[in-house]
Amino acid sequence: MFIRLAWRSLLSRKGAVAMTFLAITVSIFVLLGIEHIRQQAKSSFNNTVSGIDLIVGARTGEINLLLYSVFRLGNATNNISWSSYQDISTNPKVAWTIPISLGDSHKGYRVMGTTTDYFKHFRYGQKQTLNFTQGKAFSEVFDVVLGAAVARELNYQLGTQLVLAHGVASTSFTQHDDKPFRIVGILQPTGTPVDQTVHVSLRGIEAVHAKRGQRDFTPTTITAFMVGLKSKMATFHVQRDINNYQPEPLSAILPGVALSQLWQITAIMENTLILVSILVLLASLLGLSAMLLTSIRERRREIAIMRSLGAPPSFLFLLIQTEALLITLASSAFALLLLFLSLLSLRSFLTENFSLSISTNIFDNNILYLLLIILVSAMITSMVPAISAYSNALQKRLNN
Amino acid sequence: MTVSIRNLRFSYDKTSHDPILEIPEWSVAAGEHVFLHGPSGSGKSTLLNLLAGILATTEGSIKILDQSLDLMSERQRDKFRANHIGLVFQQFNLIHYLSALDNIRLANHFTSAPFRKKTDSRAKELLKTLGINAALHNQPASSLSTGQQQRVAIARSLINTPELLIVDEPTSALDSQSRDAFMTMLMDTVTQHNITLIFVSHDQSLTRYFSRTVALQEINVARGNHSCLSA
Repeated sequence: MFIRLAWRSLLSRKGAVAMTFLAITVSIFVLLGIEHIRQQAKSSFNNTVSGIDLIVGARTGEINLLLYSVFRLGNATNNISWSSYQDISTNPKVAWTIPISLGDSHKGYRVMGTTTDYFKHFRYGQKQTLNFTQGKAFSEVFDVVLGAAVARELNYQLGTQLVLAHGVASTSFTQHDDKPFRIVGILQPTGTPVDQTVHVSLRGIEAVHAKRGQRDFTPTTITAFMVGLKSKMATFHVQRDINNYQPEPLSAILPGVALSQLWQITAIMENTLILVSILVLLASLLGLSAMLLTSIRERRREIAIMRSLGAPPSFLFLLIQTEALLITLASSAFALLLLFLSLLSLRSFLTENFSLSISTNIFDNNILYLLLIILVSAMITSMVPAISAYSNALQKRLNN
Repeated sequence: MTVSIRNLRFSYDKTSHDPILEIPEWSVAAGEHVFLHGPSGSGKSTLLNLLAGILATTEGSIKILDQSLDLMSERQRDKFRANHIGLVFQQFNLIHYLSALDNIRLANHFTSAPFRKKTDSRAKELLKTLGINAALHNQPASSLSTGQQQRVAIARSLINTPELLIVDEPTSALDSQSRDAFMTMLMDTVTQHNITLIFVSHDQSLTRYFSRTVALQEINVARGNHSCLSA
């Protein structure tokens, strides 16, 4: 009876209820959307590197080195010499290294030159290894391994030939047309920038830039390299040694520390976005309260009838609260549906343009806590109209 | 006695020395059907609201079924009204977006637990007795005719089997034929359930249906201008 009464009451005021429902839906959608994308972006960034102790590049800021070496965002300030790389990789404390060479692209996707150690040692997420959907790692100079998204979006198969372009813009005027590469492997999706990367050997990178007649494709420079140590205890010691490396100015960073610095920088923007969305939600909830308060004025007679039938204050209080709850629940459900559909349609855009792998699974703890807070806030803001429902002059309303 | 009033004084303005109602003594026996009349502004609706516990007395006591309303809190009066008193208002006061059945169910919702059993079957039976077709039971009250709304209002007032039924000007919007049909139906129902009835109307032609007729001026000794009142 109670829920039916609240539901029928809302239906009898469709226009005002629909507008309030839309306002709350949009604000919940904005709040949950920002929170979900924020969490997913962080998680996506955090999952990109796993088990890498140090990243070494030319002397630059920690965040810049992290962004270009791991996330393929931005560009290196300078390259480092192959001899320095070899010197450090033979350090007895170093277990493995993965050299990377960036600067070329294929149809807007970054090309990364590396060695087969990349497929052996690179870890993402919860220390997951890179696996092949088809084919294998490159072994010849002009072999190429594609990330899952590149293969999917460009509809490439094993054996397809492709050419690299100089630079990282989606349109390049310098194509290495004379040196086509052949696809020998396609990686499984990882939800990291690996999916957006075209992997070739370091010798392949050297070969496309080689002068006519050049036969030795040993690189002279690389962009950066990742380091795995035999003992975590040695991390700071090796980092200090690299930072003080005499033959060449180098930077060695701890990926976790650089990520924390990145989050500190983005925290101000994140908090501003959250604050704005909270204010939008608060405005909508106040709108809900105003709508209910106005409806109480319109419904004085109806409320007086209920009181004349013996309705206790708690009944009227809960009736108004239930109406607020029904609107907020319906808005939350619709906002979640809207968010799910938006993520579904924007997923590939976010992945391609921002290397962000956003999950469509929106039911994580944060979102559930937020929904709970929204419902409690709706109950609190509806208290004024709920309390005012009983404080009506009963006799006047019945006889007017 | 179903109704017993002693030294009642009532004024909307508590500081006023000129009460609207001043009734030294008045009572209605169980099962009596009382027709209460009086000119507009004489305080009829005010008296009914006091008897129903919607208004609280300023002075004196009102006992309904030997329970003193003046000793009860507002909440206790609401509960007492739900359990023992049926009300039919001049404008029927149905909740327009609820169906005929839901309006009756709602009245039953506020009673104490023993009365709440078999509500639906009893509500349908009451509506059938009052001539409301089953097809109309789930129609919103706003879509019913005035006569149908009036009968739903009576069914609602009877759902909790009240000992006292208070009816305020229910025939003012009806033509003479509908009015007579309504009165016959009402009197049959209250007689059948042995309900004490207090019926307020301007229409003196209705006195023939009642065992006792009371002019409010006879029991109300208050002097003053009552033209501002609603009845």
